[in-house]
Amino acid sequence: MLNVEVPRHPASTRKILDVEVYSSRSKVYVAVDGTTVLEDEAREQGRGIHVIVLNQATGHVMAKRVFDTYSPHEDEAMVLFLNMVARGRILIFTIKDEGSFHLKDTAKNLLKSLGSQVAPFLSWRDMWTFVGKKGGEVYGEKHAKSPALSTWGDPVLLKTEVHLTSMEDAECHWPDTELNRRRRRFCSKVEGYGSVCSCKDPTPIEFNPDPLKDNKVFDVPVAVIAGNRPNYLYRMLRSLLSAQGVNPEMITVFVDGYYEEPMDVVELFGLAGIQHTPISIKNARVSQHYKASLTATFNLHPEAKFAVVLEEDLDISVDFFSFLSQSIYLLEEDESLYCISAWNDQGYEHTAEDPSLLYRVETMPGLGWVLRKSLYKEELEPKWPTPEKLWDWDMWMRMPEQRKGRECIIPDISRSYHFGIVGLNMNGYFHEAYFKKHKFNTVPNVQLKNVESLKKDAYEIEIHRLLGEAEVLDHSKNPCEDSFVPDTEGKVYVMFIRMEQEADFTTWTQLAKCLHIWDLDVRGNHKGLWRLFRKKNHFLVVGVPASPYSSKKPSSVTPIYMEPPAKEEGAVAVPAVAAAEQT
Amino acid sequence: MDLFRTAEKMGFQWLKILNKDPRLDGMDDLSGTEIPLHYIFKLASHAIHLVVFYERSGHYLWHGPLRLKQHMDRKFVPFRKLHFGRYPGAYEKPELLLASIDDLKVQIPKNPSSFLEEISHSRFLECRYREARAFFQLYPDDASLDAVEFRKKAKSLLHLAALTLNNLGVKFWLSSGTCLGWYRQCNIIPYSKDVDLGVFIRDYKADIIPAFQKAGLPLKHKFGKVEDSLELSFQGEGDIKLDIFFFYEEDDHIWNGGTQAKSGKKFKYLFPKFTLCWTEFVELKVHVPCETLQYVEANYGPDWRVPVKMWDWKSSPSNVQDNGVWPVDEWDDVIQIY
Repeated sequence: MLNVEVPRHPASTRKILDVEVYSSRSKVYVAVDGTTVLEDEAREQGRGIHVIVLNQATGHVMAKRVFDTYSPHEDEAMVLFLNMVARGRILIFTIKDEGSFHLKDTAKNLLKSLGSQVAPFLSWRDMWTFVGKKGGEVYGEKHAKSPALSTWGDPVLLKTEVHLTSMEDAECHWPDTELNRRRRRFCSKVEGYGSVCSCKDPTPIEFNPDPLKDNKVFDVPVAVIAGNRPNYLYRMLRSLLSAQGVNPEMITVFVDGYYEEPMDVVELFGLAGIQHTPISIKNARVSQHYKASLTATFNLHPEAKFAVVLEEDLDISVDFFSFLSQSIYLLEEDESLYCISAWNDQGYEHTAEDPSLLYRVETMPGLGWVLRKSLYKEELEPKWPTPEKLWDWDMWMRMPEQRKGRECIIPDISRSYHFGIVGLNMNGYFHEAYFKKHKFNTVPNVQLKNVESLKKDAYEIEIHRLLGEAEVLDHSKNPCEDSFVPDTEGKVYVMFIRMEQEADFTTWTQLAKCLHIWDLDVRGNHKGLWRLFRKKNHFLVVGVPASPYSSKKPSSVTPIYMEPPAKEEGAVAVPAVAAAEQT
Repeated sequence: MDLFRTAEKMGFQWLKILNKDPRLDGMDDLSGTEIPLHYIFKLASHAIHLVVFYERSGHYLWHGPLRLKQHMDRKFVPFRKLHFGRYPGAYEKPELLLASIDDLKVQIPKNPSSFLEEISHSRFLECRYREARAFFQLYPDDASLDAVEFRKKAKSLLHLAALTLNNLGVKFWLSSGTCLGWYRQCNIIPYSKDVDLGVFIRDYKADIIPAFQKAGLPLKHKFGKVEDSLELSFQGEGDIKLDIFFFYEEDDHIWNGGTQAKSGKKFKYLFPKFTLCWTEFVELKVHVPCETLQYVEANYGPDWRVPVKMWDWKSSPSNVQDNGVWPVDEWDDVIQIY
């Protein structure tokens, strides 16, 4: 740790900061005026280039990032980040372990343009520290070359002084309005949000989406469940506040922990934020956070009969509230419903077509959904998993003991888009495989078709009607091939698969896999029936004989059977079945 | 914002009192921004006290206490003379009426005297969530299905009892095990078996028994008589009972009676005098003794913090006294079991 007895400069009109930056194989630290603002000596983590942004007038830390430029593409992320930082900020760089292997020319040139003399020549296992002002002078740079491939450069300690500017020089001169006062408070505290802090033409922080006529969800509280991903929260809130019919006064953001930056983002948009002292660990911590947030939501809005539950890593469609306004009465009138969700687990770009279409499904997709107060207060809250139970809250909600055979309403085209790549259950591969190509509605004001037919008995009539209209496909062909479905548009086709009993999903899982839709567990079914689109035709899949709709199968048709491939050549390790959200 | 600027322009000085939002209190530790509780507007020697009411679960309105922070001017107005703010208060949600007073359109309660009458006994107590959390650290909560089921039934029964008694205009409070549950753990004690309420004997109404019958809660037993040791017990759904203990006020103490059916033995439970305050319990606005610690200690002794699953009403309470025996010729009257 630092010797806090570091001599300070006598108080003068121009304040001077003492900055210390340390770079080595196993440890990095940065200290500003004797206070450690970064220290990382943990093993197996924090490799690459650490970047700290200081406010040039106050010396406060505005952003802290680490880019593992040993690995590919991190240098691109670093370039993006540095380009977003405002001119005049103080930038501090230090390498932990290795930061040159995938530091490509674009990044090196950017660092050179910031004043670094060493960056263009950084190589394998070199240690490096650099302090400079963006668009201004260099305060110091130190470097130690690695003498041999198998060794690291010697640890490097850079001590330098930085002169602070006046507050005026560090801020933009936006016109004095309430909004700009919020903007100023945010932008002088935080960096990395790009054009919302531009001196010229900053991105708006107030959105005036069209009001919604006869808005049935204007008074429904919206709970945004958040952790410590403030840049995600920022993106999510922008889309939420741009949705038609949004009522910002009903939004509360619940942050799981005493993190400042997410609260800064909440305040930037003039919303209400609440911090929750986290308890327990991992998925149990998330589960306790949900419980605390939902209980608080109903306490703050005692008259509400519903709550909208959103997470920080979702884009919200422009017609999200319109969609809910048209469908929420179903949740009120139909006891066989568990929730309304904005997410279609099977709604990919190639399998979803109709924004006005709704389905009933036997799963609880989450990812932007409506919770009935009576369900929460009478059933879920009293037996919510206790803190030591390491369960996923949504897996728990999907269990038969909780769901009790009830269904959720979902749209064919999802009204939320899951963009989070970093999280408790997420990683780049998982996102790429299952979330990136999810279809997301961007059409405003979609009028939902025939909402009444989503009620329990009416839906059966609708299914029977559809099955009556559907053309039976040629079951001798391979259902995985595109040619299985004719080159038509707007028609309804049906296919029968083998489903021995209610829980036999062998064939369905294989089919889902080859169609590149959700196959990690079974979602989207309604009494052994799945509905999707293929080549813009409505495509029904019926499980025989388990599904009651098996009676529609012509006797001449043999249900298709697909079995899992024999386990030889080490099949891809499928990630443990997990919910796809959360911190 | 405009309100304050306009008021300033008119010459008012104003003061605002903010504090923690009690709706965030619970078993979880949440903190948000402070909420406005009171505003005082002063002009010359006149003051307007704007009390901010919040609606809370349980269909009631709550306002906070008026506590001045360090830097505030204690002489701004004669705070002690204000009608609201000595304590937090709970009120029935009044229906409002638009009225014209001195050519000003204002909303007033539809039934002003009813609202005003509530002021003198509006004092509200928050449940002690911090202590409840500490209790659960020592004695982890019972999360079994049985416990969940019992709590559900007990909550339902309590809501029904409250509705019935409120309709009759009979004042009641949480007593015995139910009161202990509120005070110690902000919840129904899962092994408590019954819901216990207290009623002052002076508030007794003969209508109570038929009203409960009508509500689906038949009389299970009636012990004692109005003049002495009255106790009513109603059958709820399943195994659960609603016990109503009637309390008798003496000069320097309050007591309720108990009867042992098979022997005719009488018992007396003594309590120091207490007054009633409002609180929120399982989404219901109910009374509890304001001097709850005294009340709980009288009933459960100094070790009330320690859960005791085997409780014998004849001997376990700290404040129980033998009170003789009912004369045999009265037994038909004072011991009625259905």
